[in-house]
Amino acid sequence: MMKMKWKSKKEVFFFWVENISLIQFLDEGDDDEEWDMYDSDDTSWKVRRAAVQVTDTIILVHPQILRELAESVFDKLIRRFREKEQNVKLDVFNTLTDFLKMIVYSDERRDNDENLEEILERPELSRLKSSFLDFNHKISFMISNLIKVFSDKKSTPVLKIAASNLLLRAAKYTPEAVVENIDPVFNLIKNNYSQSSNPSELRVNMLKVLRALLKAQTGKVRPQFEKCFEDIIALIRSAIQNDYFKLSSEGFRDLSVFYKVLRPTVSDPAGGYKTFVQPSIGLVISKLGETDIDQEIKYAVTLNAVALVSTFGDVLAANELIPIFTQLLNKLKSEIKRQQTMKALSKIPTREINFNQSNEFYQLLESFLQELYTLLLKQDRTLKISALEVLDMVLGIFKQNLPKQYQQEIVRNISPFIRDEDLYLAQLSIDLLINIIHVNPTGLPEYDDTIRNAIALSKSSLVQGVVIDKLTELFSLVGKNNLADTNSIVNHLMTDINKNSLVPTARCIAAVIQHGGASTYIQKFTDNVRIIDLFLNSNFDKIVGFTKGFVGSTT
Amino acid sequence: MILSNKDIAQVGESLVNNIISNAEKKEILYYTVGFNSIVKNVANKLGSGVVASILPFILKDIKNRTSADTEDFEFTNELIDYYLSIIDNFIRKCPHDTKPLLKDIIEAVYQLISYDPNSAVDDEDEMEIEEGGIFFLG
Repeated sequence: MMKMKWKSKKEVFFFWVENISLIQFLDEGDDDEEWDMYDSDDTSWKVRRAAVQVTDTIILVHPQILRELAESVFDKLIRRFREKEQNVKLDVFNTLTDFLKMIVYSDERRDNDENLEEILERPELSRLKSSFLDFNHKISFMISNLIKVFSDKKSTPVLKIAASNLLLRAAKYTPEAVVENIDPVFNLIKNNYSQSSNPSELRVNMLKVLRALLKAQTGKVRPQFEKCFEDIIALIRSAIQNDYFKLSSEGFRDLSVFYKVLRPTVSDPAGGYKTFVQPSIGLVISKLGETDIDQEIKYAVTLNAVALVSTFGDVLAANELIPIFTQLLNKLKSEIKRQQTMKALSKIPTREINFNQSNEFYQLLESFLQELYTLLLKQDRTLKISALEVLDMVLGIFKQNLPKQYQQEIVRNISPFIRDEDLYLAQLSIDLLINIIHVNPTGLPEYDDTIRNAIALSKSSLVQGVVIDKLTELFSLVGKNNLADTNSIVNHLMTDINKNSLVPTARCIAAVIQHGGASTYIQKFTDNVRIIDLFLNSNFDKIVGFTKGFVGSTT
Repeated sequence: MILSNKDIAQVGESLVNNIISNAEKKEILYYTVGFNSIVKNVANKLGSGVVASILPFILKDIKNRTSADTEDFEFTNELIDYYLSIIDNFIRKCPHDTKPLLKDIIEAVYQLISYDPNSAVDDEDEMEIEEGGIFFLG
């Protein structure tokens, strides 16, 4: 073998570039099979694919020229739906997906986590960029051509899955454009879902597309959806009863969204609730009680039951509500499902729930609250937070109808959290206490203990931000409703003053004085308006000064 | 990376010169493959001079080869595939340097998305699509 002498590293690199890569290329070329392929196959698809990939890169790197690209290349890409080479087609779908991605601002996590989408009921932080206007009519055209890909006999399952991903992206980001083709799209969903020989991923995507479209069904397109209700519920029922856990859980998620679609029809005598929801409730309850099913279904069905209660709580009968809550209570008792159930439960909005207040109901409520109190004593902080949120939800549902002894129990149980050990727990507890005071402003003996804790908390040097706001709100309510002797509260607030928490304490005192009178102190503060106050020598003087300031600024 | 930016740029320039000077020979493919390997990894270190000299040549050569009558389709396809890979990597790693050439790149890509030298009939005519036409960047 020839021995080479290198003068420098640079020379080595030159050699590598000019020779090694050539040798590698020639080595690859020595492969007989590859040369045979060259002789027989048309390789022009490689050029088309590379051109599509360059387009994709331009879209991602230079989004400012999307409009110009929409005018030219977008149509050209749609034409490649007729491409004979699968690899090129897959890249075309991928590039069009990136086109769609670039015309919206969206939270990627939400796109990839279906449960997150349901848990976060807040409106999604996504909006269309102005370039969407240049695309809208083209997307509709793309959809009409994409539908043909599914009916093409030459389309392989892999290709159909890629096409369904593009359809899903379009349904999520630009549902208006997809809804323009609602009839063929719905037929497509139905056909591709119902063919059990189709790959599961394709069937799952079809259910996701359906969900995205259901979310978008308002305004002009609503009547078009209404005529499909029967077909939609038939498809969803078939999905939730499917043995494959992915299909079943997607079916439950679709059903959760379908509840919201049907809600406006609830007052109609022949409304969607009776026709479509009621027959499915039994199925939901029985699935909720099953234990030997996949975790994903369990979570989806829990969220579904919660969506059912929060959407139709006022029309559900007691014999439907009690089994649902009994099953949810069982899930709370199970360590594995507890966290998810708590998260789901805390999302029940405060729509009135039509509970028939029977013995059975009180028994269930009692067990429910007991379980929550047990969770408040656990070491796990997230459980404590969820338990406080769920207690707030319970209070929101029942309001004045929550029996007094339950209100007392709640106050007793949350009182220990009003301290500076964990300020978030303190904030949630004060918030819950405020809600209870709103419900029951006449006074409970348990309030004294919580007020004592709140006074101690206001003197902590750690208190800040929202906790101060909550404390101020609490003391305003205490003063307003005469829940305790206001003079005595101010007296306690003004003893053992912590020099590091003068402002929080002063704000609390100001709140009590403004709303509750505290006559002695008002007199005292007014008498003491002297020049010497301005020097604020002692903590007491400082507190008096700050308090007067807060009273003055908010009166 | 052991080499300095200056050395890398020198290697790049040398390969660009070889590509340009071998435009009429089969060897151009070997130099293009080598240059593509470098661009994939260190395109951003080659300097704007290299981008400015190679991209116009590539775009012109693509135009010449796609419009010329040739029987060696495999060679042409292979070469254009590597050309496009080089363009792709330059857009990714040197977006600023490639910006002035975007219009020409998109025109080339527009033609190549439907490139099929073996097809006598343009199957796209069968689709009833409104022709948007090539745009011009302002």
